[in-house]
Amino acid sequence: MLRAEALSKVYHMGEVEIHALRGVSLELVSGELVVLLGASGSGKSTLLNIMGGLDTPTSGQLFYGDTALHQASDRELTRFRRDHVGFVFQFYNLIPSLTARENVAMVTDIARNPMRPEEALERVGLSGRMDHFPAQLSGGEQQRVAIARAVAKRPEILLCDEPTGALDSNTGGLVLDVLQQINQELGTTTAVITHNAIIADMANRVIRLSDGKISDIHTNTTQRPARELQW
Amino acid sequence: MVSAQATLLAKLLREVWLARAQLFAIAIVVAVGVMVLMIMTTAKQSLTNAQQTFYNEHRFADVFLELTRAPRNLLTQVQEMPGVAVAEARIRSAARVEVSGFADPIQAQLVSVPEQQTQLLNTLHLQRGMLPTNSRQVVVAQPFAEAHKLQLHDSITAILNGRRTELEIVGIAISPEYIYQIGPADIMPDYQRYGVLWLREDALAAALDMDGAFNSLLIQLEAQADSATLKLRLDQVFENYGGRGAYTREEQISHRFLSEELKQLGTNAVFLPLVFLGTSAFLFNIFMQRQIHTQQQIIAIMKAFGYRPATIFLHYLGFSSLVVLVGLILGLLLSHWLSATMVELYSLYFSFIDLNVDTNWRSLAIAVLVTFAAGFVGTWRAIYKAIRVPPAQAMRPPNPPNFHQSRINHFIATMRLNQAWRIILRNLVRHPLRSTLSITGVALAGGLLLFGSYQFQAISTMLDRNYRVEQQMDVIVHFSQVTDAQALASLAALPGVNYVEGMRSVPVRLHSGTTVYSTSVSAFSPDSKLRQLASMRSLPDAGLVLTDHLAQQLSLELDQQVRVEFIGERRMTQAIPLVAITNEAIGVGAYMALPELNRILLESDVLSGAWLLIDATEKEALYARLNEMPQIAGYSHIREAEEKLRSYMDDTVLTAMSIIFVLAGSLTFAMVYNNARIALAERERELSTLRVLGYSYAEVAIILFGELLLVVLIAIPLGWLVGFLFAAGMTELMSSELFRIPFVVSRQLFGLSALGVLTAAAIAVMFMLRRLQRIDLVAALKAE
Ligand SMILES: Nc1ncnc2c1ncn2[C@@H]1O[C@H](COP(=O)(O)OP(=O)(O)O)[C@@H](O)[C@H]1O
Ligand SMILES: [Mg+2]
Repeated sequence: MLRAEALSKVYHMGEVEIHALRGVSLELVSGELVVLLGASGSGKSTLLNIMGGLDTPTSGQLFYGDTALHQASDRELTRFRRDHVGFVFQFYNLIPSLTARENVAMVTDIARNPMRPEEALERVGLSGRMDHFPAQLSGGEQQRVAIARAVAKRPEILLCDEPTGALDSNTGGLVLDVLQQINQELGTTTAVITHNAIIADMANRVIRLSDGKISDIHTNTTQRPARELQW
Repeated sequence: MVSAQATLLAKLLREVWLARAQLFAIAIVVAVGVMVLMIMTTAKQSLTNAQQTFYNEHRFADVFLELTRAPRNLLTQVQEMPGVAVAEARIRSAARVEVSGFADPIQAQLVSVPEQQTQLLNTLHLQRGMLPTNSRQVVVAQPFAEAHKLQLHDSITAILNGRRTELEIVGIAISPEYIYQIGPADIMPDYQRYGVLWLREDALAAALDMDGAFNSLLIQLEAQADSATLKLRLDQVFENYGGRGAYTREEQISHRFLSEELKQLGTNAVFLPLVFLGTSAFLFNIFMQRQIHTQQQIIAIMKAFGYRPATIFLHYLGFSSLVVLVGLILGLLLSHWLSATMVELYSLYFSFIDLNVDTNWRSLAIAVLVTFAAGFVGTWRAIYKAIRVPPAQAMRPPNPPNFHQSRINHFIATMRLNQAWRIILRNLVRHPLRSTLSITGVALAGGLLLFGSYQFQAISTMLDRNYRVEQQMDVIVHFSQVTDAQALASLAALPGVNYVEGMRSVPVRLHSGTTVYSTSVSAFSPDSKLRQLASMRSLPDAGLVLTDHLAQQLSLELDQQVRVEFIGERRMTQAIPLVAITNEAIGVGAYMALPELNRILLESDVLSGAWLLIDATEKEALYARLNEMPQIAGYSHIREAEEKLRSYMDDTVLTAMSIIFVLAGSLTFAMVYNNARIALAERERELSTLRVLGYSYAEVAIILFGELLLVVLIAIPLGWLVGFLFAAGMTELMSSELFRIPFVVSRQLFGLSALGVLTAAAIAVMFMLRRLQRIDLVAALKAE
């Protein structure tokens, strides 16, 4: 459903050229859970951001269905993100002035076929803390609100950039469990970035990036439940 | 340590450069405050100095008295009164003057100078020529000479008591008595149509039949003399000589105008700079808070490295010092340039010996102190907390801003709003002090706009009322003597005269308890077509009508009996009931029906003047005929005076309004721009998140600027209130016997104030929109 062909991304930092991606081709299959593995600086975030319409490739092509995203305008990319993509980041990025429920409503207000904010929060196990502000929630709880916010509009694609990076192992496991459940129950195509190889066991496919290129793609025959992962 | 200082300095300069637009906006507000302060205080200082010099060097009198006629030997009696240092008698008279090549009527004040001895009081400052040595010579006032381009040895004609006298100009002078020269019925100086002339005493004595007599008295007081007692004694002594009541400088026209001007300069010099410097301190405080918030970790590291808190504080004080310095220099440059212009402008209206630009260094010192203190306090408030946090704690990333369940936040949650407005409202109430001050600042700017434009509208309303409603005549004619009503027929027969009405004016003293007030009663027909009293349908057939200001001064109420002392040709005192009060804007007057006045004075149907409606195309022919008529002491074309005033107003209004717009606009701009910058800095991540979630630029912009829009929307009506109160205050403060500014605030003024604020805000927002578009989504989300 999301198809990348020979994506390259070059950043210019003054005199220096940084090749963050060097010809990455990849297709996300509907309903699968993909884990992107790789060392820091290998280009994972760059790839995810381009696939989510946050950034544009220097060269190469990106299609969502028949829509060519590599030549889309800012307005079209905004539309794409609004209608089809949910994001989860390492640092949650909740709106501090809104309660958990209102943070989710921020998305359901502009979505075409959303679930109720309460339902989204129930799915991540936060029915009891819907009226709390971010400052009153723990890191894991904040990240679960962020996930509820990302899935509440029933996106086709859910992109998560190191969702457990700022969390301890127990809380992180809880968050991954939520992601896995959503992938299975709603069938949302999900990509999760991590540099933690153990997490890869929960995926359908594991894609390894190094130095801006895909170095290995591995398909798991069985997925381990995220609950059982320990690191 | 030296290199550490250099490093800190480099850090400071780089950070200042990064925030240059924002800091410059604050510097502009500082500059405006300093500029206004310096201009106002410099103008005040310059005028005050020039006034003092003139008064001292040319011995401006302390007490004045006008009378009908008294023998010269009474002067010795005056000189012996306690408290009198110097007394001088002279002759003064109104007259008509003709300057060849100028057709319009000219009113003049003729003043005598002694023949033998030198002038003692109100001495002339000759700018050219000399004092008159014979009765055919004259010294003319400098503005009058300039207006008519008169040179020494030119001649002018004075018409006194119906006699035409050709006079040679031998001197051009100014006098401390006429620093501000304004005709008796004028609102503004008109140097072409009103002038002061000084003649030798014998010339005036002969023309006015005043040999061995005088009609004007000047007195200089001894130090610590009691002027009130002296005034009483003078009034007693001159009771039988037609004394009009002694008065002090405070009631002297020229002194009075000048003092009013100085008073207003003084008020402006405090109020306006306070608004601007206060605003800059506030803007500075929020800037510093933000700066220090983002640098908490840097401060912690500096502390961990062993920098002392004082060093850190001094480092951050560098921001405000730089801003204040730039603002000061800019403000001083502007004021240096504008002060000279301002003082020059004043010299058009006030004739001084020499009006120098005297910079008020004391106020400069105050400006420097106040602005630096503002920066100091702003920085201190912001940094105090940051310095006290232990380094270890500060190096951890900050927690999310602490929004929590408060009653107001809960209330916002229950409101039927979309999330965007929830964000806006919660942020607004999260910083109550900042929000309040922002609203106050913008409201002050709006108030300034309303108040500034109000002044012009009020004056224009005053002119409308005076010239369109109350005085509808074109020309006012004064007879030399009280004349039979048949004179109207001969006026009606003059070329260009369409309509004539008679009137009579009699000098009186009004008594109420111990208060005495000298003025004149104007009498005209109750069915006059040319004269209306403000707020009254018509003049009552009997009884007295007073201007509200006068009734108040005399603490008189309707239906009370007023003791009216007639001090014209016929002297008598009569109790007359106060039957109505009129709220005329210009002057203070007393009015009666003409037949009733003549009945009281036991006279037949007589007049002292007339009002004419004329055909303007024939005015020259009419003037020529009027000039030939000895029974006419003077006349004035008030329709032309009105036009002149209005064209002057049109010229001034535009300039003054632009200045007010710039002042208020810069205040609003700085306020909105700074708030927007801070909001953007504080919430860059939040706004980027929204963009990532699929919100468009426009939707995100609404969230960022909605808060400002609310601030501005709340501030606009508050600004109206502020401006309205200022306008009311000024109306009260400025109301004097000369005129009372009508308190009329039209809908346009409210609109103008709102429009000004919105425009400035819109410009600030436009600057910010460009910044908003430049936010790098990915980068903003990454950094913690
Ligand atoms: N906005 C940017 N400007 C310049 N270089 C960047 C930018 N974003 C990422 N890079 C560089 O591109 C490379 C890949 O970065 P990234 O995709 O963030 O890697 P990862 O997420 O795998 O750690 C890195 O060398 C990084 O420094
Ligand atoms: Mg990354």
